[in-house]
Amino acid sequence: MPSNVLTRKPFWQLMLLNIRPFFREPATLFWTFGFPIFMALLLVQAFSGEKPMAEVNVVVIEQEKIDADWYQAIEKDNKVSILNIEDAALIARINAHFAEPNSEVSPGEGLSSILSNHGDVLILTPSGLFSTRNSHEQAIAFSHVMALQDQARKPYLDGVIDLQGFRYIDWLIPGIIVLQIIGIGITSISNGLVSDRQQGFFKRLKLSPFSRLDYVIGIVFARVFLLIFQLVALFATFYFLFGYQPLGNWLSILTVLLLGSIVLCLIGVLVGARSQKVEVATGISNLLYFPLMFLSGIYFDTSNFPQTIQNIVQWLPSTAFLDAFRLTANQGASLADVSVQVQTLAGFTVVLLVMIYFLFDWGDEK
Amino acid sequence: MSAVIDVADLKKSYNKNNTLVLKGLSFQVKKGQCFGLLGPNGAGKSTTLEILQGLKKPTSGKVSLFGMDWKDNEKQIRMKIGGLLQSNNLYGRTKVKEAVRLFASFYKDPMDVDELIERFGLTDKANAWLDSLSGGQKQRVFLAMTIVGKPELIFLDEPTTGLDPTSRQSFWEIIKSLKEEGMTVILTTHYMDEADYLCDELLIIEQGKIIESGTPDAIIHRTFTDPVIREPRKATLNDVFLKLTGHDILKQETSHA
Repeated sequence: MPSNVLTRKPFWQLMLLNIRPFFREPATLFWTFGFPIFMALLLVQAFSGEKPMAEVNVVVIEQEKIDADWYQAIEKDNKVSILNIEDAALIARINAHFAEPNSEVSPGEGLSSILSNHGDVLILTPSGLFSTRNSHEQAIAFSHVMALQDQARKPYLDGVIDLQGFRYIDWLIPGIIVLQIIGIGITSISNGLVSDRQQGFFKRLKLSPFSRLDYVIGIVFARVFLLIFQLVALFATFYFLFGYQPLGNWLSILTVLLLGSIVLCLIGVLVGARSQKVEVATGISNLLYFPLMFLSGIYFDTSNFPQTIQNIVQWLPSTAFLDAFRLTANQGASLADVSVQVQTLAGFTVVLLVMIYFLFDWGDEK
Repeated sequence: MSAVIDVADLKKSYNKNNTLVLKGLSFQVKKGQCFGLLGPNGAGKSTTLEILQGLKKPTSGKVSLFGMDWKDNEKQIRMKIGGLLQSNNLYGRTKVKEAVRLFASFYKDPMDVDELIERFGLTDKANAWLDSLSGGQKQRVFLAMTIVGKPELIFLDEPTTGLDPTSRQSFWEIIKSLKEEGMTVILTTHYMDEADYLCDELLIIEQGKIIESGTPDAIIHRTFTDPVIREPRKATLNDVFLKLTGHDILKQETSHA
């Protein structure tokens, strides 16, 4: 029977050995599945910027010199409160502050004392609109008031533009998913591997005619299998809470997810390949985790990076993975469209397997 | 009986210092024998056992199992041997049946897992997690994992250390039955009663050298010449060990534990 044949395969048994503890230990189950979903939600919430905007206070200086249409639009907007300043001395001080139209204004610099009676505000002067704090809320408020200027100049159009797939949250969610895979792939695998080494499991295996490749395949497939559960949970959560829905072909998306997950899991195997202590593996995992997190374009578009950095980060496996995932999921790209990224990931798979073959420490005597 | 293991002038030194931990051991183990390796802590028993199991390489000398050497025939030898380590660990939340099935998957023609579990008296524990078993039950599971591939030769490194007398007795009976089926057993132990009960032949090592070898009876006869002591065996292997090595085996056990 085919199922019997499969259960007699060493890689299958080693895979099951690595999967079972996750479902049999409530704490492991929570920290593996529950906590990452909670973290993902937190990150999406923190970075998406799509929460309801609080009321905006705008301090207007010399209203007569400001574009009348814009001022009217601001005045009419029920989310904006206008504070007109009459105090001539205060106006003079603020104007002096913005004397140079193009000067950069450090948020809060000097203005905090000048406007201390007016709370959290934006300042509209003949030179332009300025925020007084470098906060996420002020950035949202700033965009809102600037948008009123555009709306004041252009006639309103009827109809709804569907921005699905192009919202910041649509761009962010694939990044958060890849971040989860980086965490599980690198940290979880390397720690598990070092733990096996410390407990003498390799020594026990070596007494048997087991294939070392079976062990690597078993541990990687076990994590990929666990990731499937986690991805289903993440996709469902993002769908119900944020209306996130991949637009592309599911087969392409899953192929990219599978390939990317395998590469990141193999990096985890490589991290644990020589480490003798969990602390060392954790340190190396962190060393990789943070650069991959910041340079792969999870939170920020890599096209904003300097060209030199862009030339480097495009070759990171996580960048290739994330780019391919975003393109297939959000823009409906086919596998052919992301062939460069797919080839990069396939190349990494081969290179990592070769490195693992030569570098893995099974405890053999040299 | 043909020799299953043939060791000639086996020497071993570690890179840290060139001191020899094995200083030219030579011995043979015949098919179907239970062969005991005895010696005080640090004598070189475990190193010898690990070299025999292909886990360590000898510095010089010849080691052949079934007429084959480790360098050229590792896979063939692995198919014919099984090993029980001093400390055995597997994920605690693994069921008995799953653990045995894992090791069965490494062999071309393994034993039937359910039959093996039944034979070792573990049927009612087949679906129990390893971390819920007693020391004796756990050791029986690891022995089942060791023999599931139908090995012709098994290595048992202090298999009953830490077990209560009942568990030890039941473990001995299993080893006896394996021997009766024709399996060759290499055993290291600190328990002289265990060596006396199970072993056909013994090798006593101290500081990397063989200081005595032969059957338990022959060793006692050679060590104690007083007929009152040796006939009818008032001396035990424990007395032999004490006389030859100057180490009290009971203190050895205590310090080992």
